[in-house]
Amino acid sequence: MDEPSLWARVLGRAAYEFTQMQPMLPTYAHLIVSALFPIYAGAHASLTRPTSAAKPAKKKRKSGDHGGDESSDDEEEEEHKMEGLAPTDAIMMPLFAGMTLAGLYFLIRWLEDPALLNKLLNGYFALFGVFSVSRLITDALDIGHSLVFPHRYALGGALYHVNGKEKEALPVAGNTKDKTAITSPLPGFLARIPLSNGLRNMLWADRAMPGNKWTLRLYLHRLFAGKILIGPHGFVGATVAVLAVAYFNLVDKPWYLTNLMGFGFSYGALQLMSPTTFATGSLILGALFFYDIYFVFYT
Amino acid sequence: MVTVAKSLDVPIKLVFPRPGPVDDPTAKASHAMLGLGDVVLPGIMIGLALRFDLFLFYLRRQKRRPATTDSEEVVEKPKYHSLAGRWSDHFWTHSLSGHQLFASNDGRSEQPFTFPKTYFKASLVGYVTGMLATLGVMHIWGHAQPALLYLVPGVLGSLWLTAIARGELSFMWDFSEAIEEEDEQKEKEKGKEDGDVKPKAAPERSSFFSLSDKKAQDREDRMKKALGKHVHADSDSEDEGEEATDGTSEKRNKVKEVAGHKSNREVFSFSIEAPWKLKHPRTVSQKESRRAQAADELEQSPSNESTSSRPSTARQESAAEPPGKRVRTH
Repeated sequence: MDEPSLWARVLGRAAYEFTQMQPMLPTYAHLIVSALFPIYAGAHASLTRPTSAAKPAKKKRKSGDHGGDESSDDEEEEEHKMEGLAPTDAIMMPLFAGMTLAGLYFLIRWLEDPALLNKLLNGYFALFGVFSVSRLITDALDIGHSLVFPHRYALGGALYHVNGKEKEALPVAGNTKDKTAITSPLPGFLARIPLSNGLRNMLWADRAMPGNKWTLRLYLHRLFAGKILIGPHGFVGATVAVLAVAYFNLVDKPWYLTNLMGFGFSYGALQLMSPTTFATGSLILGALFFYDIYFVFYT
Repeated sequence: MVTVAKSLDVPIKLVFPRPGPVDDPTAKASHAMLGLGDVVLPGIMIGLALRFDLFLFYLRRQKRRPATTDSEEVVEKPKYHSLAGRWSDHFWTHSLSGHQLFASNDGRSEQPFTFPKTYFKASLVGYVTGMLATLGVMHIWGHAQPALLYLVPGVLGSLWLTAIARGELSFMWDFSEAIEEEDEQKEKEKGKEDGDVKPKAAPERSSFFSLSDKKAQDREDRMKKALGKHVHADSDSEDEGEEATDGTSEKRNKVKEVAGHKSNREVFSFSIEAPWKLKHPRTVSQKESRRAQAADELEQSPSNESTSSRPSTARQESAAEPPGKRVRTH
């Protein structure tokens, strides 16, 4: 009767571990969700035109039949280039990581007090934190806004395209028979809410709000030429990011601000870095895998 | 590794509050930690998987016109629609279970709302599995674990196994995001036409770490392009209206003189443009212009110009930013 008792022991052990684990489950759920969030957001933000799709026609404005305000929305869509990683990086990356880690380790031993190093690194990360967090918040606001004011919605079995310029939503597909244009800017069932004229115009103005972008141009001879578009969401995002980073560095480091900055960094990094091919990516991850094994068993 | 992680307080980690040990309620609440590397490194692979999904989606929509006698096979690539904002469109046009809420009529094709994210989902499943394994091992052995040890097999395994199961291994292997692939091809063709016997260098994937000459050259070129795109020299007399009356023409000339660009002499410039058309493009209120002898005085934002003799410029927008503010130093 050895076998059942072994099973019973295993089961008992598992049950025991589970009860041990139970108070930790919210933490673990939190951890997994927090890890997935920047990956999910960053991966979607990194989407650009794949090579299997046609190149956009050069400098040709779409004719008006494409749901009006879309042209103004897509206008400034620029193809951002990602920094490609090469197969050599698969070797270099763990090496660099190891060297950095070892360097930091000896620096800490040598300094005995890591306060100065901490300050330097924190300043460095604060700078990047402002940019990445403001970008994260801006994009989050954009998504929130587009959720309230989508381009297309379905109502009563018909598909409506919202035209921002004409300030109306036209039925284009589905059960369009006895349907007329809707003048409310609100989508779906919300469109049934009666609105006064003033309120409606206000909402239409609010719908166009994120498109009102200020253009900043900076040119420095032979060094830099750039253009930034900042809309209202950008302003909010930048302000919040500056405040958050300032609070983080000057007052306190609560866990949620650490996480906010972490989200910002990973969100930005996911849009910047690409392993270019699956083979390269696998190689890099594989190298890091063995590097991890090495570190586990030798330190 | 743990020493470094513990003694440095740098925000490259995610921390999670966790309940203290049950037997010792006085103990300080500790935190569970996850390094950003455990998010970003598998993340770039998952991002690649999502972009691969999009690539496949458009690949499947390509139309092939078979070769005829006088032309080669033509591959008609579908038009790309940016996915920005599509998610909310999808939300408002589909029920919660993903069922489309309108009957699509075949007359005109609707822009896609979303695309199948097979590989993305597979890699996410792998990631979560790896994370669960990490947490389980950590919990049972009570020792900090390098998460990549479990995440890497999870993510890579799920991706490659999905490809094998779907028989798309060759697509996956050939898929590349090498920068400027198409441009390079074009250049190569051009080189051939010129009879240029450039030895076909191995397709140079620029390494993240190396800064080769070619990269520097690229940078220069990109800068030039950016310059053309981002900073356009004004043709000076463009928007100076013909409505310049006697009294204001002198002033306008001054504004033009100060705020205009000579692109071949420009060293540094910074400009702010409003998202709407200003009522009085490129003007300075009179009071200001009397003072404005030098260019740098333009920098002072005419925010307190409401007392000026031009009443309409005191509108809120134009007061916030000087119209067509341009600063130039030589």
